[in-house]
Amino acid sequence: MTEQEFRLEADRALDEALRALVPLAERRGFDVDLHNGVLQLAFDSPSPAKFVASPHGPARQIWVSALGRAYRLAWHTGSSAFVLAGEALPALLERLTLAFLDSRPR
Amino acid sequence: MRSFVIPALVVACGVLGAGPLLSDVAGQEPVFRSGTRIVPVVATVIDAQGRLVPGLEQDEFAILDNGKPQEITFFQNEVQPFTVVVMLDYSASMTANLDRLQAAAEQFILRMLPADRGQVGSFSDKIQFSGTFTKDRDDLIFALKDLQFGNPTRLYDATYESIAMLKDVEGRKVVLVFTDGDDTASRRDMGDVLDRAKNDEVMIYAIGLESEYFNGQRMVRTRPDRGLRRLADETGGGYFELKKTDELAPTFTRVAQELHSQYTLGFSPAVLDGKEHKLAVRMKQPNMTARARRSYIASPERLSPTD
Repeated sequence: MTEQEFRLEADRALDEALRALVPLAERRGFDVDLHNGVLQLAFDSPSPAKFVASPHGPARQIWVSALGRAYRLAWHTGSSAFVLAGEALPALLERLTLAFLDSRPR
Repeated sequence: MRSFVIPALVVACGVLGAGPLLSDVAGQEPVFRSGTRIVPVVATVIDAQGRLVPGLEQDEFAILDNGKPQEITFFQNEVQPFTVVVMLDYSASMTANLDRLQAAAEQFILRMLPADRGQVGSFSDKIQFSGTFTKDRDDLIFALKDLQFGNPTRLYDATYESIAMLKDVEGRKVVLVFTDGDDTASRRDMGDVLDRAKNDEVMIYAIGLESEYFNGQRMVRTRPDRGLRRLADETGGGYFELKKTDELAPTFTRVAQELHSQYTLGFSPAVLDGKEHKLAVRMKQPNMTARARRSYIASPERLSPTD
């Protein structure tokens, strides 16, 4: 994958994740924003927190920082998506978001 | 038996008491056993176009100690956490560009991973820090807006004090300094900063911006201090000289990505003579270049405390 192809696919993947998360954000009351190529999910409850997803060009990956961990998603040609252990970016973010929202306040 | 957790302590200390070699059990932190010393070397690899090259293996590298090839006894190509001081020039010449500078620094902070820690600071006639090292990106971004302006540019004092802030930090230590001009008022000079950075094993990244501003009488063109490139080169960091503010955000992003794309190499020095040794990292592939610190002190006194 060239750098140009990576940028295009990463932008597309982040935009797709944004659109997938908006309904959940509206239902559960958190902010989701895609700005300057960085996707941010900001929570007030159960405790203040932020998830960040951003492209890492040199590694050709999308990196997600959430719940005190880093997740690195690589391009999977078969599914034309950035995945980690078979899970694509929107699904990963939704799973982490639900896990966080359903956790007890810290 | 003494042992060390790698890489945090190794990177923190120039020369460590360490093992005949590394023991690496799957799923566990690798450890060194006592008996010899390891010199840690953090390297950034770029290709002919200046692009970062992650994911290389050990046999792509060669280390030279005073020109002599060394056996690489430690190699790490996984992402390692860092602790950073982001020190920004808030002098008068930056007034018109402050929003862009803050937005660019924010791009760096947003890309910090959960294990990375940082604090932000500013310099002008005053040198100011946000307080304590934190993993909380929101705190850091908020602190960017709470820093104060002044007039002179105490670049070297600020860089020196940033290094000092990292004194008790373990692991990879980084100062990321931004300026648009020459130092005009520091008590310290570039040599003081370089000595301290080498002694404390701190990598210096510097971003310099050429800019124009009105000084009350006429337009003045500023150029970033010439000493920054040397500080970066000697400490294994990086130097980026910009001509447009549009380049700020991509450059801060680049530094974050670079810090997450580095390699940690280690070797056992043949002699511990207390002298400064020249270090060089060479790549086997001709189209690749490695940047790393250019010296270390081969001193047994620099052994880290062990249990």
